[in-house]
This record gives sequence, structure tokens and C-alpha cells, in this order.
Amino acid sequence: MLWLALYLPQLLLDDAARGLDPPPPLALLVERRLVAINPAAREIGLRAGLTQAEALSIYPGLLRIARDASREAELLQQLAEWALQYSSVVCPEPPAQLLLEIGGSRRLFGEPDLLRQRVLIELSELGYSARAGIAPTPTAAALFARARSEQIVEQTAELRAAIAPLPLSRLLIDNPSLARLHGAGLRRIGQLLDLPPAALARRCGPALGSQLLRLLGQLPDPRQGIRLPARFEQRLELPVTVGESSALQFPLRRLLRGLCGFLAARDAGISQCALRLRHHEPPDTEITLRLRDASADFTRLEKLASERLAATRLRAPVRELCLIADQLGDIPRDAADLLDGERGRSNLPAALERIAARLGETAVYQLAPLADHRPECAQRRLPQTRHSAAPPLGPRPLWLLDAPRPLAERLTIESGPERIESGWWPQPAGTKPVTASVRRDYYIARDRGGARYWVFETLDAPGCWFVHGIFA
Amino acid sequence: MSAALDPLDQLLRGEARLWRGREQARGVVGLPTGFTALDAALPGGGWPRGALSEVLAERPGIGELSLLLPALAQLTREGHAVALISPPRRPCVAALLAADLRLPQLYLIDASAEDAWWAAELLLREGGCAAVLLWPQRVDERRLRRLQLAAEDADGWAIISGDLRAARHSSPAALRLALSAADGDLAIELRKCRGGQRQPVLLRGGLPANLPHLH
Repeated sequence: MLWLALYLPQLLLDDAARGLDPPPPLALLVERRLVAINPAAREIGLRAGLTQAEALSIYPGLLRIARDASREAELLQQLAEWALQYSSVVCPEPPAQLLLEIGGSRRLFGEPDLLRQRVLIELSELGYSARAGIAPTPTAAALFARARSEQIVEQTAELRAAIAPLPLSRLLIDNPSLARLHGAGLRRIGQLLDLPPAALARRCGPALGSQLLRLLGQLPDPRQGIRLPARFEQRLELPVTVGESSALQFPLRRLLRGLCGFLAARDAGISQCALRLRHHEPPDTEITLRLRDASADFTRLEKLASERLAATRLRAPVRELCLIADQLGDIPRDAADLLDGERGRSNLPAALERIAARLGETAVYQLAPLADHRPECAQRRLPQTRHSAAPPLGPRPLWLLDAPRPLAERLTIESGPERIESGWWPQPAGTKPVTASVRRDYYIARDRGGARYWVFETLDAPGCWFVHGIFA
Repeated sequence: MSAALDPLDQLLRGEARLWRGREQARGVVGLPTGFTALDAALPGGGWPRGALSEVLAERPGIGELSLLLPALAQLTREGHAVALISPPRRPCVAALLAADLRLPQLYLIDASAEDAWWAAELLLREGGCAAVLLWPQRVDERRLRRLQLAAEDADGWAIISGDLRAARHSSPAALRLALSAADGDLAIELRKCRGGQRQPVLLRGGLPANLPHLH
């Protein structure tokens, strides 16, 4: 077993700031005192320990958040679900720690060091900062993460030497015990390990002793991984309300990255997801993103979402985004995926859905024949690809007029007639009677300029001529 | 030519990067138009691939779309996607089927003037469409150049169908045809033809390819 521990000390701060680029100065307050600040706040000269009044006198625009244990747990759970793409065993450990068993991930993700880099980079793309530690026991991995120790220890036998130089304060230890140990001249974990267990238990109770044994892998330390949920729902609260849809692109990208990690963990794709924009007053603005086939491709989702956002006019400023995907499907893996060479970069469904996102769902369509002899009823627009066979027919023009137009000028008849007599039967209930009974003789005719038209004479009123198409 | 030079000549002939004036495009195979007389006049024996073609008609209804149809239908039969962007009228399904065009490969887009250019470029560059046909109301050189570049990069065929009288712009297109009706026949003038010669072509009996009795 090999464990990767992720320590996220700034989870709430990161979450509050991740909707804005660059992140605004932010502070976490407990009893009107700053207990944690983000890098942007540090840059403008704030530090932890200031009172709220002092901080506001330095920077009146400081955004403040309060500790919220349930939100912290929710975020940790979401990140655990996201992390399941790297490992099948992921354990969230509140308040701020994730444990991933990565011994089994080596074949897919390479050396532990590469995996650690990758996880940290992708976490930062989500908007979270973390420290990572790798060790054969979960307790030791967590210790390395807290102590900022970048060493990678893979064998239990090497653990003792690796943790000996680390300071005592990095252990999970209460302050009175730590003070007692410091008072006895103990500074490093190695010194503690050299003490006889009985002496240690007398000074600090049995808990510290068993913590040391778990660190070294001498006491069983079973962990229960989380199960993967069947639906994705995440919200991102914006640090300031946003009135321009273009400013929503950045936080939406972060949500989509989270979604793609979730989908990668499930090895699934989505063909539809909902984006809910919350305003100060209900109702929410709901946007549905539709894909032509199931996908988990971040770039594709991002382009589609960006097209849809650009086409959306915001009713009011937005204070929160929520992304929901509850219909997961299998990603089609066809031959084109395998031949991912020259043509692999082209993706017609993705291009079509971007066009539909900008121009509207009905702007992209296909044509299909219908079994009807009346020309205006013999075809229809298809939103999706579904096709049926066509009846055999005489010559037809390439352009069909939306409605036949009375013929105004003199034309020379070139060929014809073709009699079309149809539609005299009663229309089925529920259908719109677009065109009723048709009795016509069709001809191909040419005007003096050389243009060819498809014209007809109605048999019900001989002498009445109409243009119905153009041989373009 | 001496026998010793022949292999060299053959070697160079297949080299598209070598500029050879009028003979330049000989190594490049075009898309057969379906009309023997036109194929013979075009370098490569057909519509230029990976380029923009402008087909400008004196007036609509003389066969401007029928001229393109055999090549478009052939592309769909080969399984390639073809897109019509904002056609000026409703295409007649029966006529398309009569030309043996595969409807599942045909995509139609309703777009405003500005969005039509955007969609055309997107479909060529990212959608991998083999042919994109559009009917712009107004044409300017910058837009044409963008489309020509997109066609080049994606190795697709971009086609502008328009009105001859409105076409005063200079054109970055590889091919520009001017069509006019001539007493039942279709007269085609090659106004611009990269790697070929400007020359007139007359297609007897006009074009409606779906009128078998007129052939």
C-alpha cells in the first residue's frame, strides 16, 4: 500500500475565492479576528491575528467569511469524489484532509511523484491549494503533507529514519502534551521514538503511543473509502455578484473541470447538463447544455458552455453558479477515436453543438423525405439524424418555394406535365392541415433570361398558374 | 524530352510544394465536377480541394446549384459531411435524392449574415466538413481570405454562391466562375483559376442534372 495525503488548510478560503480571477483578498474570521488569509490578502499587508477593525482600516474592501464546518465537509466530499479518478480508495478526513491509496494507480498514472504533481496541478485548476505527502502508511503520508516534506518513502522499513527529523509539533497532539514534551527537552519525533513506550504513555496518555505505532505501520490502520455517487451537483458561490455573462466563464470553467474529474472517475460521459445561475431574487436562470453524443471532454464542454453563456442575457446579477449532471451515459468509442490522427482533431458533433448553442437549437437541422406526393408535404426538417426511404419521383427543382406563387410572367414550357393528385383523404386528427387536397399538372418552364422554374396549373381552376420551385 | 530526364520530371510532378506556373496544380487531384467539359478546363480535373471556390451567377435559376450538386453528392456518398449555411430557399429533398445525395451527411444551418461566416469556418476547421456552401449577402475580401485559409488548413472545400453583378471585390479564392444562361445552355467563364487558364466552357442543354431528358 502506498498513500497520498492531500492537506488543504485553506479549503474555505480557496472556495470563496475561486470564482474570480485573480482571487480577491479574503480572510477567515473567528470572533472578529482574522485566523486565516489568502495570498492576495497577504500581498496587501494583512496577516492572521489582526482584528476585523484593524484589517478593515488597512483594506476596507476585504471580503470576510466565517468558519462553516458543514460547508467544509461538503467541499471535502466533493473533492474526494473528484479524486476517485486517480484511485479507487479515497477517504475524506475532516476538516481538511484527503487520503488516496495510490499503490494501485501506478500502472495508469506512472511514478508516485508524477501523480502527485498532476493532482496538485489539477487541484489548482479547480482553485484549491494543497500540500501532498506520500508514505506507506496513511498516518505518515498525512504527517508528511502537514510537515511539507516532499520525500517519497515507499518501504515501511525506511519510515522510521524518514520521520525522525520532523518536529514534534507536526504530530496530531494537544497543546498541553506538546508543552510538556518541549519542557522535557524533546523537539524531534525521533527523540520520542527512542523513549520506552511505557514512559511515553505515562507522560502523554496512550493515544500518542498508538499514533506513533500507526505512523510506522506497526498497528493496523484500516481506512474506508467513499463510494462514487451517481449524480454530480456542485455550486460555486461568487465572492462578488457578477452582472456580465462573460465574467461567468471563469468560475464555470472551474465547475466544468470538477465535472470532468467526476466523469473520469466514473468512466462516463454526459449528453446533457444543467447550469443554474442564482440571483438575489428567484427565479434562477436555468441553462441546459446539450451535446450530440455523450462526452467527458473538458475542451468540448467548455467551448459549448462558453457559446451558451455568450448568447445568454442575464436578468440580474449572479451570485452563485450550480452545475448539475444526473444523466450519465457511456462515451461512444468508435473507430474515429482509434484513428486519432489527422482527422482526429475534427469533431463534427462538437462543432454542430457549438453552433446550436449560439444560434439556437433549431438552427441546425437535416432534411428527410416523407412519403407524400404533395411537394410541400414530401419533406421535413429533422432536429436529429433519423431517416426513412423516399418515394420515387419525377424531376424536381433544387429550391422549393415556401408557398406556391402566382405566375406573373410568360415562360416557355420545356417539359411536362407530371400530374400530382393527392391529399384528398381526411387529415389525421391532431395534424395541422398544411396543404389540403392537391390536383396539379407540373411543368418545367424557362424564362427569357434562361432561368428554369417548376410551375403548375391547378386542375380545379384551369388557367391558374403557379411557380413552385427553381432549378438552381 | 530525353529518357534520362523523365524520372526527375516524374519525381517533381508529385511534389505539390514546387511552383510550376500553369502546370502547378497538375499533381493535385481535384474533385470531379460531374461535367466532362468543365473537368477538362479545371486544373486537377475538378473542383480545387483545400480551397475556396466562388460560383457567381448572372441570375438565380440558371443552374448555379446543379453545377455543384454532383460533386457534393459524391462527397456525401463517400461518407463526408457537407453543410449548407443559410440557403436562400428551402432545398427540395426529392431533387437532392435524385442526385443521389446522402441526406444523413447533409447538415443545414440557419444563421444570420455574420454568424454564417463563423459557422462556415468552424465547420471546416473543427467539424471536419468536406464541403461548406454559403450564400452571403455581402462579401468582403477579409472574410473571403479567412474562409480560404480555413479551407486550406482543413483541406476542405469552401464555396460561395452569389450574384455576379454584386461581385466587384477582388478575390483570394482559388477559383471564380461566372455563370450565364445562353439560350438553354449554361455558359461558364473561368474568371480566375489558380494553376489553370482563364477560358470559357459551354455546357450544352443547361445543367439541371436531375433532368435526364435534357442531357
